[in-house]
Amino acid sequence: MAVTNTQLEAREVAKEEYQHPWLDIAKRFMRHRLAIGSLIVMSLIILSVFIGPLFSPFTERSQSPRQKNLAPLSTFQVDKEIRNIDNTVRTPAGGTATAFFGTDEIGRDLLTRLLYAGRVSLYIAFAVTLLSEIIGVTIGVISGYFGGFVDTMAMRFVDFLNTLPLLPILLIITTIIKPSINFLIVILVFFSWTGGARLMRGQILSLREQEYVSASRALGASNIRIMFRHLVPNAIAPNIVNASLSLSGVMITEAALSFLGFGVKLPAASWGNMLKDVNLSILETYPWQAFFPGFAIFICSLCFNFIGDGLRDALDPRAKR
Amino acid sequence: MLRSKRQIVSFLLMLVLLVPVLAACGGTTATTAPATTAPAVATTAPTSDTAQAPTAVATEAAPVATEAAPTVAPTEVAATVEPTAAPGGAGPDANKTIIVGMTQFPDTLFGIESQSSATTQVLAAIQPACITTLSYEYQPVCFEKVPAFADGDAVTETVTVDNTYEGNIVINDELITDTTTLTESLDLTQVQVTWKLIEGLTWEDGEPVKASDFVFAANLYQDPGIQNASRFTLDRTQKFEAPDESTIVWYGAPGYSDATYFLNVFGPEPEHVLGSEDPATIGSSEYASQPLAYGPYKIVENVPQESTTLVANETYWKASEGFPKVGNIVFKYLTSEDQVLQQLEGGEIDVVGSIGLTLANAPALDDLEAAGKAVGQYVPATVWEHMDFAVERGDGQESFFTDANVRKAVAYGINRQEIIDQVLFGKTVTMNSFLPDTHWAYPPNGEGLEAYEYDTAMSAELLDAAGWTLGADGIREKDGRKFQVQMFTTEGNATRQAVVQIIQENLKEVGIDVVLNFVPATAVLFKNGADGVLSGRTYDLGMYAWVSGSEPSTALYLCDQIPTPENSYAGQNNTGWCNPEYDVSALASQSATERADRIPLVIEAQKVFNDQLPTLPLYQRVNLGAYRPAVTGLQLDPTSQVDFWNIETWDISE
Amino acid sequence: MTVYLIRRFFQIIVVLFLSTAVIYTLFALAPNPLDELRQSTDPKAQASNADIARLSKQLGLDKPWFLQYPVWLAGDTWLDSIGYGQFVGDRMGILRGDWGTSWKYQKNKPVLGLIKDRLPATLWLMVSSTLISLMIGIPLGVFSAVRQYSFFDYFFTSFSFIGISIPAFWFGLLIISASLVAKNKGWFYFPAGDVLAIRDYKVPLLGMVEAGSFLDRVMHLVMPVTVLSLLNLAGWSRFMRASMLEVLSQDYVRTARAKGVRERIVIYKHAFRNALIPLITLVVFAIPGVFGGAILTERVFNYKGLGFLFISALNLNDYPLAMAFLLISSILLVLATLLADILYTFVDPRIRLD
Repeated sequence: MAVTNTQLEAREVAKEEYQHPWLDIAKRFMRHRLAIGSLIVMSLIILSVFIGPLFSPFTERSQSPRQKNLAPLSTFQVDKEIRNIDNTVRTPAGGTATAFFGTDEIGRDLLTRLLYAGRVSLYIAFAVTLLSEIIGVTIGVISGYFGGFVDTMAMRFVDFLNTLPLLPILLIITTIIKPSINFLIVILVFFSWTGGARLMRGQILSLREQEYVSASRALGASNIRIMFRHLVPNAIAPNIVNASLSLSGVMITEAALSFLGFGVKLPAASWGNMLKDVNLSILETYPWQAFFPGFAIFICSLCFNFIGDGLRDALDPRAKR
Repeated sequence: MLRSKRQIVSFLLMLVLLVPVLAACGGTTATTAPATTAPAVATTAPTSDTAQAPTAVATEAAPVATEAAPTVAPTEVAATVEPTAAPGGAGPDANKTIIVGMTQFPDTLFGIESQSSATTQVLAAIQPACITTLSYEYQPVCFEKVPAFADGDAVTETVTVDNTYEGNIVINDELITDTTTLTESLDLTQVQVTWKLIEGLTWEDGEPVKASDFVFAANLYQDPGIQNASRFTLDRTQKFEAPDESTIVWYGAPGYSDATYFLNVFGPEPEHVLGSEDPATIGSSEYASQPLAYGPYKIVENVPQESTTLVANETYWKASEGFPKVGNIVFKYLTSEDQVLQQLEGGEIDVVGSIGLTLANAPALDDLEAAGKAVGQYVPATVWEHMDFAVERGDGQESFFTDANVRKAVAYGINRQEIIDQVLFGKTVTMNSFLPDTHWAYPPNGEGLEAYEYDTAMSAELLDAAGWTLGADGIREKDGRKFQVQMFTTEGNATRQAVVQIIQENLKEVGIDVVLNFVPATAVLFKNGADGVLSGRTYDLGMYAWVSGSEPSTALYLCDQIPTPENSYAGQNNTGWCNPEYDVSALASQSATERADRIPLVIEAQKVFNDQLPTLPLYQRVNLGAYRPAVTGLQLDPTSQVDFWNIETWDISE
Repeated sequence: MTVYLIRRFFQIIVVLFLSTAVIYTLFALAPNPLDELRQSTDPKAQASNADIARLSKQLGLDKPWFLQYPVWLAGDTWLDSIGYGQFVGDRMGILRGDWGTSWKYQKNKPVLGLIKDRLPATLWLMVSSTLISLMIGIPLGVFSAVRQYSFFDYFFTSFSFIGISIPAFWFGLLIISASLVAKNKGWFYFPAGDVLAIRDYKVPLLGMVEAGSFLDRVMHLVMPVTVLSLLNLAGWSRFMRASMLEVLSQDYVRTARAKGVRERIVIYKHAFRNALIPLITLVVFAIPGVFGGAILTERVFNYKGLGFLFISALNLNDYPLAMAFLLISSILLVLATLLADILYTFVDPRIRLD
């Protein structure tokens, strides 16, 4: 017999009500206005950090010792022409330029420097978080899925890493090795992947007894396929939340290291090391030099935390209304 | 969690509370500093600025000087002083205290083992150096005079040395420690120097300072347990003797002679206290925190890395003249220059010497001076910044600067005066020789030396003549090779950063492309060996500093001082420049003993140096000190190791 | 329990060995800090190769890198028995109680003594800020949880978000800036930097403050403690709130309410106590925090405590001092972990240690 009306109706209704689970999550996320706001702010920051310097009359390192320590919104005449790295003229001599955030003690424009520093700080934060999540997830899923010796060894190693006092160790390592930016990322990743691994492993331990896993196995799926195709997508939610929250932590850690002089070294700028040489005299007479880099770190960190919070509520099926 | 209107409102309220707070910090201009158009304010050239320079006698090994102090007990400022029953002179005023600020701290007060220049400064008040080096001259302090050959208290004797001789000898400037290798007996000249102690030198516990204390010191410093950095002179000493209580005689190693023979005396150290101690334990004992004094002050309390409190020493040999004037001195160890400025302004410290402020603080100091809160003192220092040319590279690559005319072209092409005006606040002068113009060996009025005034036309002319033609992109080329050079200097030094960028701009205008490299000082730039940038000569231009002194540093540019694998990179002629004419004058000046003979020789050497320019001297660094108007007596000196050499004459009027 | 403790003890030892071994070997591979002594124009003060060799031997730097760690552990009196007789010295090593002497910071002074001298300053700082964070944070968290969704709750949540996002050192700089502004305007201010003053100073509203007195110490502590406690507060109170919320949604709380128990007793007798349990973790980990948790704050405020000592040691390449600091931090951290685990078994009988 042909499909009845009611059956058709049922199918229609079913189609209507069927939503891809990610859409559901996205909808829940949208409810958190602060999280959405943070997402927008973060995107704006990332955009300005990468595009902004193109519009600036200054380069990252261009300094005019005559224009030291200017207040925000000062306009002045550029006395020497400013050249790009490839030697093309960026700003001809005699043109006026405005230092929106002022200049520092050797005459570098703070806004431009802030943007370039933002590239470095954000790059490090994202790279470290991404890599440590990837590594953490991989190790977590392998450890949770196979259990036994592999699991014990991995968790012992995780415990070992957790017993190291983080800041002192980072300081010691960066004193001895004096890393470049990429090497710094490697070092930070080395100490950050454990959180994600623990989370993933915890999830896997409960999920691997599920029926679809044994069903997949029965169908002949390889272990890798089961792990990465079935288990991980279902278990990834806490890791995503963790990633967003740890973005904030990594950014602050890198800023702290650079502030102490151990992370990104001058003259390469990062938000942390722009604060490094701030001292009492500067705080007293030119406080804006201390304000902006830290404020940038603060805003990004806040946004990451809000986004993480929004994600947590969006992804958590037990979320309270 | 945070979703509804309430949340937004409360969050905004929170921001509203924060913003005024932040704005209050962000928007205010301090009331003390004048208008924002004034250039300036300090810093950041932190103490690593001074420490990058290879240092002279008091070796300053710490690359960064961060201060610190334990706080076991609060430091007491007022210490009781026994009233001096001194005839004539008012005696030390026990109610007066002068607090001296320093941004480095002593690593130990057992002077011989110290590598911190702060130690030398503090010890100057309790154990004054027996011979001081003020204004490029030498003055006796503990002795009646500075020994000289002309006066007969330095003599030479001929000593016969063979393979049974015990001790070190020197042949052709080389130290020979094993005399059993001698195949024949030699006649070598031995220098003997005699010092006479002045009367009245007494340790703080009442024991007189005797000549035997000096002999004891010299022997002590040779003990294997003592951690002194250099035993250069001790290795070249046969023995010290004390024929009587106030005479000391030094017998040099046969064959060794040097121009500063009159400085070859060590100590004194109190034999009656240290004689029974195991030398290896002195450094860790209480004595190292509170050594015995014979100078104007003695230590009352030493809180390491925090402060050292001194009180007038009544056994001081000038006590009868009423010295020291001020009854109490406190050395306070701070952590940064801005702390120094803050505390000077607030009256928490009274004086700061050259280990405390750097030139970058000059504008802030000017502000303080204008406000009447402090007085600054600027003295050209013996540290001089220069830019080495790699006349001959050490890695086999072809050097750009083998031709002296190319080097001169670079000199004409750099506006050194602009560097001084821009980066150094105009407070110093350029140099055209390896000696400052106040040195006794500098040609009078600089005659015979070319000043290399900024002249881009001259520079271009010389470069054209040398075959470097301007390319289409503004960079010169020759035989298909672009004039692109690698310039190295130390990282983390804001002053040097600013200077090299001006140099880069200047040279760009005459067609030389300079690539800047900022590298770690000890690990890369000054590293010894083939992979050290300077010592292995893997650079084209290198900017750093040397320290000059009373003794002309002619040795820096000798042919045999070029670091090579053969001499295990032990030399310091990082330019690789070898000029026999220079060597003749320089070596002759080093072995001559009378100053009148040395001056013309050094002048000759400088003329060759100035003409051939293996190094472009940039500027002399400036030492600055500051004191509150109530204090009198601070007198910085270019060649003095210590700023506080006249501390007994200081006074404070409040 | 005893078996568990013994097992954990061995694990701790292994962990400490491994971490110190890796770090010390890294130190050993770093360039010789004595090389900079060669730099001097005055040949009389230049350290020759022989001098450097002698100093290396005196400081123990002459050994090959793979021997450095064992020597730090067990001293070098026994080296001739394994064929390295030329390196024999009189160090006893950590295992025999010799923590070594500082190389550069305070030459030849025992490292433990230096740490001990600095400990009181840091203790003052950390203990006061921890206490304040707890005393304010716990009630805030509880109150916020109990009054969930109220204005106070949202206000507090915003505050805690800000608190956990703000970089501590920047916050410190801002506070110093505010204090300097206040000082210049002649208002009340707090001194920025140092632990104690040397000279008496004048503060508006308080008059003369005597150097070295308790008041002086408190004046210098206010700003760093504010920074530290505010930031800890944000995190801990949030944690407390979450824990409290979790407990308040439990069945037994609902039962108690249904039974008619007064709300106040429900909260303080039933919910609060159970909500405190996860807080044990936080408090226990504050112990290692006392030792090394204020590195940044001390640097910003020039407060000469242990964190400052550590940074100085690193900058001066004073390895024995840095290693001692690291070792003590690690020991405290692993002991805190163990303590937290043990305490959990006491407060929550459902937890078994295996």
